[in-house]
Amino acid sequence: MHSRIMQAVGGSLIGGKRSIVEAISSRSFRKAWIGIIIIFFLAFVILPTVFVLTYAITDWSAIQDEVLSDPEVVNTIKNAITNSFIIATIVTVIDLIVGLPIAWMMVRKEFRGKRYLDTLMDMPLAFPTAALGFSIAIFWAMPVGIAQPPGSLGIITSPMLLVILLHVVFSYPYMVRSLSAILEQIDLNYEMAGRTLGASQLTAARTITLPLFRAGLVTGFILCFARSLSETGGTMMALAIMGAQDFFTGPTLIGTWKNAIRDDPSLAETLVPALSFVSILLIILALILLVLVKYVLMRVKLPFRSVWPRFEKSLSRGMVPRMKDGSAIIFFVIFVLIPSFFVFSYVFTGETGTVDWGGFTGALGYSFIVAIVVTVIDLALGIPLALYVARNGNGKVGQALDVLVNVPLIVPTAALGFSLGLFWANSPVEEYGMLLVILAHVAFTYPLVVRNVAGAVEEVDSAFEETARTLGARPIQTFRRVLFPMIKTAVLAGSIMAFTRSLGETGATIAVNPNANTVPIYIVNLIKAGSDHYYEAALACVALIIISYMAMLAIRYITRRNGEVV
Amino acid sequence: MMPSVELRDVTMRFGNVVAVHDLNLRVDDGEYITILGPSGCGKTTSIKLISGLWAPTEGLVLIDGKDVDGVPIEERDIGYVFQNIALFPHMTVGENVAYGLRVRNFSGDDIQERRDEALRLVNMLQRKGMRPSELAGGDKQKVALARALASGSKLLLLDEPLSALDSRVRVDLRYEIRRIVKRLGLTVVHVTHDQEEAMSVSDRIVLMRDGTVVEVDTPEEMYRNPKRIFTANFIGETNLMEGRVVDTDTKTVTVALRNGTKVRAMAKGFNIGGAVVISVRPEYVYTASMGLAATVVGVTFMGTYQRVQTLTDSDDEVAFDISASSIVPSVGERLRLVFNKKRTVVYRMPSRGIEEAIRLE
Repeated sequence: MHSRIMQAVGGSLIGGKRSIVEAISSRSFRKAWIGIIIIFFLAFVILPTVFVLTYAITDWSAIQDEVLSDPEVVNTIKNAITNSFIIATIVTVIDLIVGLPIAWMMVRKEFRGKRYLDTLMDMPLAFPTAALGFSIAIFWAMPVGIAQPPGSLGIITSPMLLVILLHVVFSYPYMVRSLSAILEQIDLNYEMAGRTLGASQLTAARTITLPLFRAGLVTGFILCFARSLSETGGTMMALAIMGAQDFFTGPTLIGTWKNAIRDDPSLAETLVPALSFVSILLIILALILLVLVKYVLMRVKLPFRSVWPRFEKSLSRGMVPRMKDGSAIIFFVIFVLIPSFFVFSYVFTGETGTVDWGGFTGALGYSFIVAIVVTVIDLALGIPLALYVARNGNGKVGQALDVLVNVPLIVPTAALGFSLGLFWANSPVEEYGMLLVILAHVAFTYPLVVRNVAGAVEEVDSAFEETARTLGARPIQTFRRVLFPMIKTAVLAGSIMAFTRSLGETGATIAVNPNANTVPIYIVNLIKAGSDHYYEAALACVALIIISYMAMLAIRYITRRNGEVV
Repeated sequence: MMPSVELRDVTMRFGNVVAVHDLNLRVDDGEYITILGPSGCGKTTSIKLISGLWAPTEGLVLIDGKDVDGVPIEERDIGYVFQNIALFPHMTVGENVAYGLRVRNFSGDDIQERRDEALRLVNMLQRKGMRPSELAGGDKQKVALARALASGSKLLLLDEPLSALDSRVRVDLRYEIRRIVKRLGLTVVHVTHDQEEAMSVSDRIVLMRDGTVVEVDTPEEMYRNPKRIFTANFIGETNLMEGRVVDTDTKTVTVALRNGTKVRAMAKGFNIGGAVVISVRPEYVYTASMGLAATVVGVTFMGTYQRVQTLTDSDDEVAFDISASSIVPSVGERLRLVFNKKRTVVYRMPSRGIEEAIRLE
């Protein structure tokens, strides 16, 4: 296959278009081009994301007067932030405990139905969190204002517990995926070598594989923590359904206050400083904590040295491993699968109500336009940056970009949205609500495309490109004919990921523009409008789930088909 | 003497693929045996079955006379050295070697003593504190050997231990391994695809092909009197020529090659008129004033000798060696070749032809 590409590269040089190709291949043009890309990245992604931090310097007096002097506001903020971090920590620990056995099973074991489990595992990734929030709240908690739907357990009365149950559902697949990705790369021979030396299965896994595993743990930990810290839509839905009006997480507090300003603009004077303060706290704490996690998990010596041969041997045999695998699957079914799908059962068995299809399709149209424009921008400006980062990762600029690109992934999207709104305030951009939403969505989806593509480019041996260059191909031709065909899968996967994330986003949208009429906001507003609209909200959730799921199937289809060719 | 390892009618299937078919193998106590064969012949499967990494579909695996069916790897008390070395990257050399002792619950002093002893054996004691990534390939494999030996197993399995190493290191290390295991009196099963390696270290070679044993013998016998064409071709180098038996007596067979040239060989049990293949190693081919006419097609300098390739008038390719200091024949030159009749081996023509009989994969 590669030889054909080489021929194509050689051949195309003989043909025309030479002057354009030469012009854009010149060193100065390429330098200018990458400069533009980096400037875009800094000015439209990074700066707006953290812009709110400057508010602490320029408007500290406002924070002092409106926030710090009011113990009630301080208390609300303190509780919301504390809740967010407690929830994220507990959720991540649960993910780790139940994710490890499943990841292990998926990588190391062959069993019937593994393929289906693999697909089911990704299901919550396809579900927009607002829809999940609805489904999980009516399953676990007693919905306020309507009769308990058939099948609903209605046993959870603590808002924090409900939010934890919700966050585990959508963060769990991230943990399983990052753990299994690393596990797949660890040579099975290490563990086998340990066993030939007399270590039981458990001892070998614990003393050999786990320590080699840290990178996976760190990635999984950061992904889950950041996702939990950032989630807005689903949490707002779940809390509204159980009628917990006084319970906030950081992001839901931002959402609630933004909605309050929308309904009564005179509140802006008090609430903008408060919102800034919450956003600043969330951003700083998230960044500090995640740097800390990375540092601690990578450096700290874990107690992997001691062994208890007899005890561990008894755990490696007979019923114990089976019980471990069994309970991991049971957990997955009871705590992830059934609650996620409960909304379908509700649609068919719950009380029906009137449905305003016009409103829903309007919101759907709005969401689609945003998601499509966002994906196009991500691709056009993300691929060049990914190439730069992947091929210049050792240079100073490359390294700095590599770190910066993660920032929007870690910052909670509601804080990101608020910050971005502040950045563009008093500029012409503010006049166009949809443009604001698009800019906010680009900020947090752009890194997804860059990460995916850069990862794939790093995998491609640069010898292919060098060979093409020795055959006389210009850099742009090398990219189009040699590199792009090899990273096409990652480009598609990244863009569909960006598309579905934009489609399902609530926090950034509310925070940047509470009047935006995207589907998740439409659903959240339906729930806030009262129990009469639950059925309508449920239908909208199901529609959104189906659309997102089809997008996910498309990813799988494309990646699988491509995988066979290469 | 009781065999240390025995495989009885062992078959291993992966779905429809038969990796090993009705394999029988005995390894005596203290014997160094090499399982040799081209890739895909089932040699790696065999060693994995002995170690317990895999369980056979059919048949028995016995270690020290005991059926080890259901005994997990960690309780078979074997040393195993992997092709890709598999030193634990997060442990130092010393910790790697001590690992087996630690997980087998040896006491602290005992661990240190045995660890140092094993490292001294492979001459790596001074590198105790280093990480595997700081060592060269050959040194890594020495540490892996020390790790496998440290807990005192009497059976050592070597799974292509040298194939990841540079050629010079490979040669040095194979003598080192043999010296150590003989000193410790261990039983060794060594898997390799390198016939030279097998010849130089083994007490006996088990030659495998397509999941079955082709031949088992000492290296010398296998080289001098290979019983199958496949063996003659795989072990060392040989010239194969087609012909037909034209005369026999009690000790010798006369074979007419395709151009009618007659060749005599020490062999029995052939009928006149039967189609045969004769095999002569290059070192037993000489030039003479009479014999098989041939044209020189190439000469290769090999260091201590020169290899001359010819195409004979019987349309066979025949190579022979001359000393490096001899006058080199030029390409196109006509020669006459004779063979050492004691070293000329005769085989019945295989039913599916020579190509099939010597095919590697």
